[in-house]
Amino acid sequence: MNIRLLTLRRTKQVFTVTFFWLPISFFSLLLIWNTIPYFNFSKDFSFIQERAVLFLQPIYNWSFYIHIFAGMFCIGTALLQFSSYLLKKRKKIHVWSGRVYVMVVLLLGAPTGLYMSFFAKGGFAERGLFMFMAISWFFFTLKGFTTILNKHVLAHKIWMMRSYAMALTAVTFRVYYIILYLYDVPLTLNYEMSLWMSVVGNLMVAEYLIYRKSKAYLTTFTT
Amino acid sequence: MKHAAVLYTCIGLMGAAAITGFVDYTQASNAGTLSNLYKEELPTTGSTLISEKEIDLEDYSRAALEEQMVNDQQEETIAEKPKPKKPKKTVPPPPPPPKQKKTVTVEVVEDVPVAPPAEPEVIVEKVAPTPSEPPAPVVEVKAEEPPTPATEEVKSTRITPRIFSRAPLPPKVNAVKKKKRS
Repeated sequence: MNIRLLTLRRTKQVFTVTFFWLPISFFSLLLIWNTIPYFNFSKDFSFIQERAVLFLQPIYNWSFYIHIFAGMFCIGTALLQFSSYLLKKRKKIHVWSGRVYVMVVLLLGAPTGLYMSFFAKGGFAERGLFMFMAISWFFFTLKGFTTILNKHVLAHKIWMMRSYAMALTAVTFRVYYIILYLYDVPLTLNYEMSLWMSVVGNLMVAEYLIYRKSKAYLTTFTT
Repeated sequence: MKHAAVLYTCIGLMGAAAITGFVDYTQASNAGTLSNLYKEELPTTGSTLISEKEIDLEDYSRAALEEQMVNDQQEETIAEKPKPKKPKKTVPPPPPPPKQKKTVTVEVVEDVPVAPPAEPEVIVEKVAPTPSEPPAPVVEVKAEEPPTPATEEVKSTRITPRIFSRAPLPPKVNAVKKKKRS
């Protein structure tokens, strides 16, 4: 192969790792790290105290703990899924972490998220957005799971990218929230803006990456 | 068959969550508690991730410290000399005992800046170096306080890894403290 092409490809890989996967990994691990203290089941957290009325309900209380437990595993295992090295050399790791991801999302994360979305912070639109997130997260993961069972690898990749985009809203929401906070945006507006930006932004990025990935495949339909 | 069972279980769970959520939501909206689910004011507890701490600049300002030092020195002087002293004199008396007076006699050398004394109001008398020269005018030098900015902006929050948690961020307050001069 042309040496220039190889160099270009290598540079692209380095840039992708540095500016995409490294921040995502860092913030994902930070989110997991900050979730761990919640499992002393103390109510002495400002997040819980703000929702003290909701946490009096046992269903909401357990939904919350199940949801964050599922979220930790989901975000942790998803980091391994997009490694081409693991996919080629250690396929067992990909398969098992994928199973954990799918089961955690379908059985724990999405149902509890859907229940809690009815009581989400914000207005009617934000509650609707949380419901959309929970349902779409469930649907994308389910489609990713069924496509790989049918050995349709490209479709599996596409649906899993969408599923991961939904899972990653937990991370990007906090990034946007902190950035807007530093720019002195009022807290309520900041919350709503960060929420919409994270969901819509993640979906757009995912669709762009899907388009790039499957461009060659899509051209087969036109020609 | 196994996968189908898993799929139907997941779909059933989602349906159950949706129904339960809708029922609870309807009950809450009928009871009127839906608008009171979230506290308006954030509680301040030990586990609050970002502590808002206001710094009293006045206590740590240089002017305040110098003023305190001057006060301490004055108290010491009063303790040593119980006799009431004259407040200040622009013209010193003829036999000036240096210990009992508050005037300080300094021989001024040219091109050497006079250091500000510690006391707030100190009279510095310029003594003529030679008798042939005309008597120098009395120069009154007041101990100056260093200039302190009237307002100082303090950011009350710091960016730490703990900020990246679920905890709601506190309202951002730029604590502007005006320096009080007592």
